[in-house]
Amino acid sequence: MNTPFSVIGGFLGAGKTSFINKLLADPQGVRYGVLVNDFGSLAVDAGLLSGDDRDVLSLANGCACCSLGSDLATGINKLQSLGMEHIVLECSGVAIPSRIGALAKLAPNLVPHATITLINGHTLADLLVDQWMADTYVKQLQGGGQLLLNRTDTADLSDLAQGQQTLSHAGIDKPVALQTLHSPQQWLTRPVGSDQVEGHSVSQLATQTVIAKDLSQAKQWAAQAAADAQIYRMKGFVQHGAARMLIQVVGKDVSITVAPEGVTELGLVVIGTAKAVAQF
Amino acid sequence: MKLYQARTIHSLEQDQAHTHIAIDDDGRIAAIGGAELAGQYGAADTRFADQVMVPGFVEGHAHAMEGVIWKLPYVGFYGRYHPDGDYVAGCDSVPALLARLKELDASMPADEPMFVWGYDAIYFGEDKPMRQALDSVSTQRPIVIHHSNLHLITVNSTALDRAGIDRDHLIDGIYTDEQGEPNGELAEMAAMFQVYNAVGNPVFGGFNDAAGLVRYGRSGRRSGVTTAADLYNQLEPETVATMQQVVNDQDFPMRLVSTLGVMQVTSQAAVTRAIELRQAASDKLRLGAVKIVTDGSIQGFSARVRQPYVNGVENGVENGVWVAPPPAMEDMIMACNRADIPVHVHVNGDQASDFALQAFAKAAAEHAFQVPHVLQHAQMMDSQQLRQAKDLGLNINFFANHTYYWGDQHCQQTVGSDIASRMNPAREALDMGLVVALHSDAPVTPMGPLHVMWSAVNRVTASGALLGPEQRINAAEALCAITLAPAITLGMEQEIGSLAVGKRADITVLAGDPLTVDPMAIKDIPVVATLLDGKVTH
Repeated sequence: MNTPFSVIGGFLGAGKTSFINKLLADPQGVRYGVLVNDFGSLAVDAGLLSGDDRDVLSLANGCACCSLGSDLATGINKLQSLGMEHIVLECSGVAIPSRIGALAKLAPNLVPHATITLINGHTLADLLVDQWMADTYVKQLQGGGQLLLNRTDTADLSDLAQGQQTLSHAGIDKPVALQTLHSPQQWLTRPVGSDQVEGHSVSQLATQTVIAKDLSQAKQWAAQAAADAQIYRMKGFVQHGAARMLIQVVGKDVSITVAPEGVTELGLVVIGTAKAVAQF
Repeated sequence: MKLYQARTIHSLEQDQAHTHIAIDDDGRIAAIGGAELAGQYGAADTRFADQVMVPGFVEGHAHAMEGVIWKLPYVGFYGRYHPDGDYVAGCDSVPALLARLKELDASMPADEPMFVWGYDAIYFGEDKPMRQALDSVSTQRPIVIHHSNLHLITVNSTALDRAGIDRDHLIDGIYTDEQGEPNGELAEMAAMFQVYNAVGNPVFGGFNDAAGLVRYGRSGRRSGVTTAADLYNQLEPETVATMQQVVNDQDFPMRLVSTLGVMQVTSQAAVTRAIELRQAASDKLRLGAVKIVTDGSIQGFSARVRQPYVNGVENGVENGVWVAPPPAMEDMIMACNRADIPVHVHVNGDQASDFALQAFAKAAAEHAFQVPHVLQHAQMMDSQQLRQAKDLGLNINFFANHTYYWGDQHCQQTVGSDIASRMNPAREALDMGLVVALHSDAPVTPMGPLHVMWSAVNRVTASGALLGPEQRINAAEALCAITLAPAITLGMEQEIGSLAVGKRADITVLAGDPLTVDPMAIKDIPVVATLLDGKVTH
């Protein structure tokens, strides 16, 4: 049986470790075997640990982590012999992920699967002109497979468009998608080579602003958005009695909280494919 | 107590030369002077009476891999000495290389794969041998040629077949000819491992290799080295145990300074392990320093350079590569300095030096240096960078052999003649008052401090051209740069590096005087013997 081999790239601070931690905490039934640069940076919940020797960290949910030593082939073999169903490699911060993907050929029965490169939206523009890293970073993104703009939970929705624009200015004409820590699995579970699922690029995304007449309608729309894989995000405010509520939908997660003071505008921004957005 | 008489003894402590040296029963120098010592310390041992004694050579940047790799036949462009003493002629043309391979083929059992090392494609240009050339040697057995940089292999069709590599491969690093067929050159791990998986690999995992260490000791001894660095080692517990066993043996002929390679661990783990390793050290085995590798090599077009390489685009790089993210390496430097752990930083390109200087400046601002830190190779440092290094109190270890082995190629293919002529600027660095050591980086170039010294004194390339004569240093300065200066870079100047009362009697005995022979003859002075702690090594 062939084991999929996926690669997660990105510079320091792009969120690779958080991505992997989230993946391991909720593998959704897949036994992931992860090769990490070092255990030290992994904050795996101690409650999940079922075994820990010098080389391999075993998790109660069936996943395992192996330190990426000098001998990568040994690490891969070890994870395969433990019955891992999907091998995921965390790249060094200066690696070109597409080249690392070729390492799948190191072991028999390993097939290249997803190549993902995480981008920290806050440091993207700076890194593209960094005195040491600029040229390397451009190569990393160009060879980055699916680019994911990470750490956007706290950022404004316009970050995606801005990120895409920043990339274009640097001569990188690859679509970038939004990644939130709510669902790292989705990027690893899609079929190999299905480029069309890079569909969350800004050029293909539609947005629409809708105004809910009350909280009940907003909740209904939020549920609808959460259930529709083609709706990527919804965010906005609705009047509820004397208060204003903040509605947020990210993937399948819905949150409704009291809006901070000073919010005046009402309305929900929906982002997704044109067809899905048109239903609102 | 033991008294030795020599024709000349250069102590490097005073200008004046001596003829007698007394060594106490602990192997420390008790006195150094003239014939008057014979009265005080008994009759002199005269076996070296016609020879010249200098402080034992200290090779401050080489690798124990020098011992390991000699388990394979050598096919490099230049001739080299095997650690056991035999001279192996260079394969300086394609016919010579193929003839050597055919010789080996005839001497090997049928079907056993052939592995050789030391080849460097940069010397062959357009004529470099590819798959077809190796097929003329054998299509019965796989042939694998390791390039001297260890990042590339060239293999024959049999090796490609066994590895299942054909024109439909999907792997980066499998080079192809104009017809799209693999041409036999494979670069970097993904591609190289295809072949290793299929036909084996006798060299990798070579850190823990007792026989290799023994050979490393012989390689040092035959070239006059009494202390050698092993400047990047994972130092797993098993490796350390092997080292203790081999190096602490009284018959092992030199001290070994093995530094912890920290490119794959967090700074916290590196600090913890480096401190832990101090406990495993001994008089002969020194542990506790760390090594960071920032960039690649200049001849491999992978050192980080400010200006793109002359032939960079066709080699697929413009400014070279970082080995790890600069902020992570800066964190490592700062964490080690904070814990007073000596740091050796490999910087080949000028931009890599820029980075290291900036990182060390931040480290110094936070915690004043208590231990020596060293910029290793530092080949492309300019005047401003040297001044910064001096101001910070950093030491420099230049790769002096580059002038000879790649000086011609640097002018034509890598950085151009302007930069090449001031690579490894020892004159300028000494004039600024920096500690300047010189090294071979064996096995990248052959182990041999006299050749390193010769290269810095003469700055002559392999083609005979004079490259950057203004950066030449004199013989006395160069002798210091292969003895006392590297002892300083390794934090051992209290014990070795010069012949002073109270220091260890680590001595190299030469058949000629490197300070008075024709400078072009320095590299050919025979090494007669070495003494470690006052005892002649075998």
